Amino acid sequence: MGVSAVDRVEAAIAATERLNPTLNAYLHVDFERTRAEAAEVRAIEAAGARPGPLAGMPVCVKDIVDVAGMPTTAGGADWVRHPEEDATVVARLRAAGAVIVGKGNTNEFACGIDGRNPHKGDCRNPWDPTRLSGGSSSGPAAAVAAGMADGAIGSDTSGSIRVPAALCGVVGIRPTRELVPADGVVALAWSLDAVGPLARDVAGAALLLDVLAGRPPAPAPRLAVDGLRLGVATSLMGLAEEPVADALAEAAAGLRDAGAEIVDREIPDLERATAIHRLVQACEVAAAHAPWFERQRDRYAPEVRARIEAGYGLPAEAYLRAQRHRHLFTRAFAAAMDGVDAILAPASPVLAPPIAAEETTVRGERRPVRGALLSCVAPLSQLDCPMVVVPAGVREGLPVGLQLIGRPGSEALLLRVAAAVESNVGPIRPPVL
Amino acid sequence: MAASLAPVTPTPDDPDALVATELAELEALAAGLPADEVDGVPPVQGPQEWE
Repeated sequence: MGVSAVDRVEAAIAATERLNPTLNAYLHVDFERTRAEAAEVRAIEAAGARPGPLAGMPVCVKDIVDVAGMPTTAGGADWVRHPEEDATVVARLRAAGAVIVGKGNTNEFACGIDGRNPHKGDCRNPWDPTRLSGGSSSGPAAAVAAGMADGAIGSDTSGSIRVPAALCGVVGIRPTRELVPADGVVALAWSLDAVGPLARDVAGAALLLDVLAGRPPAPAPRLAVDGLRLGVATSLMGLAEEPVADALAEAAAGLRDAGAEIVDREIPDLERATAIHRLVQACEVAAAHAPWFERQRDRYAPEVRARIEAGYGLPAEAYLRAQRHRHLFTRAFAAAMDGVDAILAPASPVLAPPIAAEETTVRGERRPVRGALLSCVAPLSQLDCPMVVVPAGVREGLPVGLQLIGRPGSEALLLRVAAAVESNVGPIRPPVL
Repeated sequence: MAASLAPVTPTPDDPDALVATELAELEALAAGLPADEVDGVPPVQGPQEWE
């Protein structure tokens, strides 16, 4: 066990040395320290003690999350802090025996969905480095997919765990809001932010989630879905390009064959939901950046600056009205879930677009990449609900992610469904491996 | 019925113009959220209530 813990870490280091120059998944690594931490785990095991449920798991931490002794840059131009303490989630990982490999790339201040970063360099997709990784948890997703880590911590405000998980072919969990503590994490939008794990498989993601939530690890999710009633979000499925829709239909058919009942389910007011989300986020991002924005506005990439600065122009009444409408959308979504255990939807309507693309084709129409990547995740991000993305297959050499949405606190049920999908699809690995 | 995606809009190079464009979009979105539909709905929420 001790040897295998060190071996896991050495494998992650070797993969990082080989692939990070191409993928740019890590912004900061300290292999000497990583090896020392792995040796500590081995020493604990050699002494006959139990080093924890994550013993020797190499982990990538998104660079908005504090790791003591490593800089937190949030992917910004010159913004940096040097934390002396770990974020609570990092402390929990260490206590469980995980080993930190480094800090993962992110869109600037986690404000983006594509994984591009003009200051630190774009993160590239391990399945095809000419394509987007998705973001903003770009480094964590790419690192896990490429074997540069076995698990990762990301954050999700508008889809920032789910989209890169889908585009990079890994499992990602946006947990029930406030299940995982966010202290020591650079905030984007306080009422929307959720910290969560990414991993190569469902069992790994489930284990990481339990550790991040500070609760005892549950047994690995069982595959049984018989008796579950699952709703297919018809309006969101209707956004998906043919290869994505095809893979998701196959995943749904597999769940039906495994005993689940599959029904159509309409999620109402998606356009309004997107509007609510944008307004709430704009105001909260502006508030989060207020302590330094005036001094540093010219250091932001223009698009990020615009998203933050526009929030200062909105009246408080607009923010509060959007929050009131958020109540109504939550009620409408709860009603849409009446009689079903979970909702199935795409995580991204398209396969990973080319890294330089500003537009992509969705159902025959040219659309901005950003809007397309947000379309299936942002409207749902104002809910407190847990959401899990699991690979549903590979099309045209690129992975497709299925998004599962459940009631608050229903992670275990979603992970059961995800495990069943994973079992049907089988392991998928990018060609770089 | 499929939901529609955001329309394609040209991106100006001027950072101040980007801010103005973003704010105009947000103001238009806010205008689409009528105040009379949320009479009596609390403005700030804690954990969402689910049955």
